[in-house]
Amino acid sequence: MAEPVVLRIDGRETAVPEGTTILQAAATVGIDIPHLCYFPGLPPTGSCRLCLVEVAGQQDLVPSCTQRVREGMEVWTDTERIRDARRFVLELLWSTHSGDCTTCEKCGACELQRYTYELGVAKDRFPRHRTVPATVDTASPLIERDSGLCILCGRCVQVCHEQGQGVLEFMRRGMAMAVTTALDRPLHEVGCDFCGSCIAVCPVGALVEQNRKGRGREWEFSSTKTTCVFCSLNCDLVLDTVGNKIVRARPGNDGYLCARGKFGWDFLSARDRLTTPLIRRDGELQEATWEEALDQVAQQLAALRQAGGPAAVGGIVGGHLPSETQYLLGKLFRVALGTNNLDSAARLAVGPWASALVAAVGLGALAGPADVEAAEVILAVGAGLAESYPRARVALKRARSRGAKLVVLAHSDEELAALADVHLRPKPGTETLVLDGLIRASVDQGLHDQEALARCRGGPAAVAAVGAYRADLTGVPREAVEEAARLWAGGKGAIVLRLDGADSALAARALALLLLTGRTKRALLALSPLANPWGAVALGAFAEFLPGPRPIVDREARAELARAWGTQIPEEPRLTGPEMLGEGSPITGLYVVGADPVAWFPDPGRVRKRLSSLKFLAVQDLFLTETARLAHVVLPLPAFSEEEGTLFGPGGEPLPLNRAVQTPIPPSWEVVALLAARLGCPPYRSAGEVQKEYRGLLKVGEPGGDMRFPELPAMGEVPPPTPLFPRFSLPEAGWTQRSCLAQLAMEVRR
Amino acid sequence: MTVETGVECVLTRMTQVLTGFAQEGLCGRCLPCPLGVAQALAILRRLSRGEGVEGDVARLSRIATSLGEAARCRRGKEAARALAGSLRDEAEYLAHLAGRCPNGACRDLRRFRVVAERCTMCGRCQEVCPRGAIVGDPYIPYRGDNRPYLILERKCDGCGHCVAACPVRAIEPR
Repeated sequence: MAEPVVLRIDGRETAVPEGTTILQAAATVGIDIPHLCYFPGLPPTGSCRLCLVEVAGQQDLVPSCTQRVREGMEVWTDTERIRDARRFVLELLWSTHSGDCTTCEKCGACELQRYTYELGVAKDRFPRHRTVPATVDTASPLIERDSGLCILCGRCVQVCHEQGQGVLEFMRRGMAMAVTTALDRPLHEVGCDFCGSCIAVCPVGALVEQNRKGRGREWEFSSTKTTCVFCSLNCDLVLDTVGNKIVRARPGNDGYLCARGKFGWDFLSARDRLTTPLIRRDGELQEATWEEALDQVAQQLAALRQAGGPAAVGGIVGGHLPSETQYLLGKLFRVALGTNNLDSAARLAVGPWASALVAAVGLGALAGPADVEAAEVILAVGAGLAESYPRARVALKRARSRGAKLVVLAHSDEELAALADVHLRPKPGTETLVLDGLIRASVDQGLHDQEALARCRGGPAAVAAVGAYRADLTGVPREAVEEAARLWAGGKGAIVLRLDGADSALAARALALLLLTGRTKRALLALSPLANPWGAVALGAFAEFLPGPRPIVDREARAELARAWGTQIPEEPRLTGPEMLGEGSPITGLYVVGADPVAWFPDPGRVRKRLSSLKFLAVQDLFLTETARLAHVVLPLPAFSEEEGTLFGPGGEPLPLNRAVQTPIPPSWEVVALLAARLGCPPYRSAGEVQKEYRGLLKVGEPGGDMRFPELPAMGEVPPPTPLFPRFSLPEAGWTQRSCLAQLAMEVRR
Repeated sequence: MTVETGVECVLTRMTQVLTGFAQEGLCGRCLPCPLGVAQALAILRRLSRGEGVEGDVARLSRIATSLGEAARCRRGKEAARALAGSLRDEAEYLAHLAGRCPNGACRDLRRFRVVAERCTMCGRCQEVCPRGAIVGDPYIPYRGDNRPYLILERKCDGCGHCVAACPVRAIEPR
């Protein structure tokens, strides 16, 4: 690294690394140079001319956002000459701005307003004059675009190209220039995916959320940092509230939220949300107090456990609940009820191969989007990945712009294909064979890490058993696969894998590719529509895992947990969710938290029948779901905006869930803790206390598993088709218009 | 429609320069040019119509000085310099503001008169005048009751057809 550059700004000396701009250097000595077009993280354009500064020895004023520092430079940022030039630009902006600050949503947070105030600008110096008449796009359902307020800074154009769909653009030239869409069509007609990044960067009120309009002024907002729960990528989320009501969601430090996180909060204040517990009396669900309801749940579960033994009671927990809740439920069932009959609804999303992952590399192999952005070579697997997981698309785009190599394996997906260095486009259902081909090519050409493979139990044998590549079945030419294998061999690598729609065979091969090249740390970004699937795995909400995650069949692991919890851990019974709801299961009492088996599990009719035949069913959820209608006791569940606790992030880091909205519903961990206390477990005072307890039990950071190489069963002559659109996807996320339509079409055909 | 009378004033020249810049060189990559030139053109148009408002000349000089400071490239700075140069004829700008175009170049401000000494009384001006603003009779030999040609200021809108039609250049701005 070169020597720092020393310069003087307004007489203050500062030393900054070479390549810093004057504007950034000024910030290091606390000087905030006015700017409208520059936005941290976006490439500077120097178009607004507000950041002009004087540099000694230079006749012209220079834009500080683009000018890099030089040794010995002397800069003045606030002379009268500069202020006058800045005022001139603002005077001109006001001549085109249809600005009525009294009704503008951005009032108080508007940068034009701020600089106008700070510089004492004569707003009416130039009479109003617009070359292009102002238009307002209110047709789009989520974003309102008012060109009369636009100041042509171009931030939205840049950010739309960087992480959006690139639909905003400068149109026309010179005096007629305007920021608009193709043919001035409304946003929803030109392919906008409504991530709202443009709103986040707009310095004025030209771009605002439709659903915040008239709900309050920005200075009334109180902000709560929390985490988005609409998929497993767990983006930073800030919720702004006014008077205990959410009025806006915006991205946190990461700078990106997709439309789900940005706009998907209206259901939180839905009128049919459950607010009080309900108890079934005389066949009807009637309102009750928390005391009554919790007492009844505890008594009934204890009684049924007494009557039918440990196999008679069980629980199903949603994959989006905080880690604390998952852990406490696991402990409640294993310690207080002596059973392992607790399963996560995340089984449907990650279950098929969670065991293989834990056994092979452990959860330490999971990566966050930031790891993908830092990778040098990325293998993205899964059709529709970009449109279902926009944050993953952004990660790939960012990595790509840093120069990373990208191999895409998907039978469709034009968007990722445009980014890819190699796009492997197999016939639908033959993705597994292409991965086999990749493994084969890596090994045959000696591109893999031989030591790493030798360390794996069963590795060499499993790899040797992989058959020759079948280009005739997949439709992907051998050369393309070999090219992909060569790319995959070099540098820091990561796999981005869409789990919904991937079967265990596909997942096993993805793991094999990681093991082959010795990439066992932070190398797998697994995409699932649930918020906290790995929390469920790591904290023992799966029937086959104890917190750690430790396989329940491992005698030593059971002993370890028994010591920590001060009780015996049984190996049996351990029924999975589908088993509990299957014909002839011993279950008579069931506690369902944040899950809707009737709607989510295969064969709703059978599930409904089985649930109706239970002696006792307690359901805790946001709404009176299909499952909750069958329950004997219904408990309200706090929404993510009312939760306390953490999520086990995509890369294993704890991400906070904070209470943005106050509600009488206690956080979900507390409900479990109250139940556990009624069943004789020690009480907890805070989510932090729970967290402290399970932190000591996690083994995520340790070298993963016993390096057991995943089994790679050969595929038959004609591979069984991987369902394009799984019949039973979960309703929270992962739904795209395309998959909905396809699903509908399949329904109709039936 | 206006007939080109071949007469120019600072305003028409400046409007031409800035219109040419707006059409050819103005990129819009930074804000001062598109906004400043649009404002300057709007002001020039106002002045040339006699609709100028108090402070318009000061606004033009504000644009002339600050556009040069703020613009990114040479083209913008040159446009500013041209405007500043033109503003040295401040008296002419002020005349426009007061509702006169001394050179008779701005249609809305110019009015014409017939110079009786040069007029041959051919009557072509009367024939081409679209608004019937010219009164007078053609010369007929041996008759003494013909009236000399006269342009009625109330009806004239400065279109300049008569100027173009006059074979002896006997019509000029008043």
